[in-house]
Amino acid sequence: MKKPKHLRFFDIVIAGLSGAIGFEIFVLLNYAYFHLAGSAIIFALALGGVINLLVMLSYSELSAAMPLVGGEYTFIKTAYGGYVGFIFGCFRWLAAIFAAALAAVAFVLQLAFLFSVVSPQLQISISNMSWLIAVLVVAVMGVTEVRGTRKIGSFVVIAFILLFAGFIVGGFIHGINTVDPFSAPLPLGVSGVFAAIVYVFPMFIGTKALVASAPDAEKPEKDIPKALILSSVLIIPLYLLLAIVAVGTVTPTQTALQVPLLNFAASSIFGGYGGIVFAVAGMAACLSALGTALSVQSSIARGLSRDGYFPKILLSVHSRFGTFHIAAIVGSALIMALSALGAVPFLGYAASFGSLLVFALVNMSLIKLRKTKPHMDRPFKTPLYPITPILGVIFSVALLVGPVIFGDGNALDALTSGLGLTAIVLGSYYLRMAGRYRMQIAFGGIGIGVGISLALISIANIAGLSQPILPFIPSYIQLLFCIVFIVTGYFNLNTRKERVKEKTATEDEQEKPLTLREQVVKKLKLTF
Amino acid sequence: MIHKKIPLKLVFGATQTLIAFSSIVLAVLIEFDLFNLQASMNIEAETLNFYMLVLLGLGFVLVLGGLFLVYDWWETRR
Repeated sequence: MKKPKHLRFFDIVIAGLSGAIGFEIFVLLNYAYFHLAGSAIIFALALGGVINLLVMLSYSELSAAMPLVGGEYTFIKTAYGGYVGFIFGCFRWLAAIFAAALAAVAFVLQLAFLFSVVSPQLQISISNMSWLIAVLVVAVMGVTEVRGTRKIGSFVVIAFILLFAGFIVGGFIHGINTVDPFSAPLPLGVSGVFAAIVYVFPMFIGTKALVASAPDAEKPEKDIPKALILSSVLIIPLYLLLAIVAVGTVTPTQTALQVPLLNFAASSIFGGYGGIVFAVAGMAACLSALGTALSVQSSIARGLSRDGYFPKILLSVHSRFGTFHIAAIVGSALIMALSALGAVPFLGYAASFGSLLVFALVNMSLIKLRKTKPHMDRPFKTPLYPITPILGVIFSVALLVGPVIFGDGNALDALTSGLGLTAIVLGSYYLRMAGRYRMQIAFGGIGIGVGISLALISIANIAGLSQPILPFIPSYIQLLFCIVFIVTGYFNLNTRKERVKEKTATEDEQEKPLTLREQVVKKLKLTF
Repeated sequence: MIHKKIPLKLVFGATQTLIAFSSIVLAVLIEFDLFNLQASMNIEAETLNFYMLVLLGLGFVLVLGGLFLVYDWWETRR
């Protein structure tokens, strides 16, 4: 039985806004404002919003033409096939993992701010144990994902819009400093403004979340493009006004704040209670985003598993709760490890990295589909084709590499990690295509090689003939590890042989002597 | 015959996974200097990249090698 299509235009716009209005505004303004752009953050936000709108035009065309489950994955797979679809899936999965880790870290920042008002002593303890709290928050949310008990309504979006509107109106009534992006000092010059776009960009990209509503929309071909464009446009003035009020409360000579900018501004405008309300709102936004990212990563990981790229174990369903617990646990473990880092700018850029690559791929898919499937039914066509998608690709790539060229250290770290992950993704694809047993033999060989090399070095070190490679691990423990590596390598090398033996033995056991009738039938089948 | 070997494979596979995963965690802790590890382990800035390469590179490869054996055991158990 088909699921009824029930989403109307308003519901879809709300879905887009709920994707965009999130925790990012609570956490990403500080670095962009104090370290990169200064008051010109207003430009960075405006440009970020316009670039997002540009990309959403391509999304509009594709989602109206293909209102199917899978969203971007379907667009890219239709245009380029499974290989690029797999790369997209991996980056989208990684982007969700990094975004979840960022949300966990942002939650701790908001919690610390809340306690700075209630009990400054406790705030110090929270700051010292921030990584542990972040890990615990992910663990709790991971459990709710496994149990399938989390439910967040879309009324949260309306509550946030009202809260932000109150903040903006309150700010202008209270009086703020004039924000002059033209005359204010720029910490890193014009290049800093461009670099800042990358850090504020995650605030906008959530609008694409409404593409997921396409299969449930009453009139997807009409409503999805309109809702995408409307929510992308609405979000720009909202964030610009928020930033103007937030930046306007900070005196020009003030150095980098240790607390989130939006919370600081709320405290300045409304007093301590304003700060508390924003801290609570920030925490709610972080938990909501963390929950969404956990579900998204699980869904993508299962999709890749279903298509044979990730292990099938990720599709396991919990016998009691009926949820995909393995996918939830694996994702939660990765998010915990990343959230323990606590590095907001690094995670912010890393979350953008995956999304920007996906944006570039979506724009390229649009160009390819226009060429290969010119007669495809397109209820909405991207204006100014091919300029719009080409600009989308150029901006996505420029935003990826721009901050690195301009010498932003966090971006360099994150890009290096991103490229490393890309290498792992591509490597795993080729290994996957090579077949499991070949992979296992290769890893077995590497394990034995590493084990023997390390063993020789450790023995030489114990004998006083050489320096240790890893001086912080005692040589005899290294030797013990080597034995494990060699034995494991041996087992990996022999797995296939054992499997073949096992299979042959099972087949021999199952093979029963044929009756006379079966022998005749078999012979006839062979003859004809 | 083959079924007798499986628990041993599981033990070695799980041990290697644990060792390799610990090396990745250690690499992350050293890189971000959590718990002031760089000073306490006498790691200089020049040698940091080398340690990262050894711990992370080998860590990833060995985790996969160990997980293969664990997966083998899991598959046979089913």
